[in-house]
Amino acid sequence: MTWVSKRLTVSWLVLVTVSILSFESSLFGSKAAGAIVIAIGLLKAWIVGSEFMEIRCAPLIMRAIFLSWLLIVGGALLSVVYLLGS
Amino acid sequence: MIETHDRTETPRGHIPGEPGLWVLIFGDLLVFGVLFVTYAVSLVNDADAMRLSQEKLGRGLGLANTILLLTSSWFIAHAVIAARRGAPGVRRLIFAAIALGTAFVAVKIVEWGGHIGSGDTLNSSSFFTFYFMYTGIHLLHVLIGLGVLCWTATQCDSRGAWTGSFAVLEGSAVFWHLVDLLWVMIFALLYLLRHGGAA
Repeated sequence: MTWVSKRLTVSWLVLVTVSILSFESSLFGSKAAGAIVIAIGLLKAWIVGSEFMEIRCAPLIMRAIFLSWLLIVGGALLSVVYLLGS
Repeated sequence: MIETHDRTETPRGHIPGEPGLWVLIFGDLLVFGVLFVTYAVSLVNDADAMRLSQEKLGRGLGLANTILLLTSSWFIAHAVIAARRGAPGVRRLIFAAIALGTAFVAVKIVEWGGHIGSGDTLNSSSFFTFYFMYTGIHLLHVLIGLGVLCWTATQCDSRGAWTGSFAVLEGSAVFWHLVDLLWVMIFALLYLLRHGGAA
């Protein structure tokens, strides 16, 4: 018997779908499009970490470190695109 | 027979793998976080030159590799679930994850070969320096991960059921998911993120 986790399968479907959707949005080159690409990348990283790596069930300190990483890297990337860009 | 279920396999507060592994995981994330921001600064400060090189990337190959790694992650996550249930077929799931990871490496070799054949190498432009460095460091992670997964496949009995330590399988899976997590960020930043004007 093969066990299929509905939760992991839905996560996989969301990850693949947003990967395909973000594919063409990148072509516009505007700051808004750049922000969308970064946000989708971070969303995917969050799903992989929370669901596949099971960080959502891990102790609070691990969840806090992971969320901090996402917020700091995401904040830094968006700041660079919006503040340093011409 | 395929059965779906929603019940979480992981109790609250559980640390997948050995706790010490997470020092490596979070350390790796910290280093890559710095690398990602460094790349973004260069992309913004040297937008025109970076875009010219970036347009040479095969975005379709990047998307294909993204789907390969995401699917590989799905298989290894199910290997962990099957092992926790004491079910047979864990080795088959690990082999599926290995096959997809190997396909990722094959696509990467084709991609690199195409760029190098066209004269785009580590030293040819700022963008390709970032590209070869970042995808190279990531590829090293993929190869280490594949080696670990091959070793875990030997820890199953004749029915393919897991016989080793759960922490070892969980830790191996967590590292493989880290490889996936880093790739989705590399794909977003190097392949998709454009800066300044229509690409």
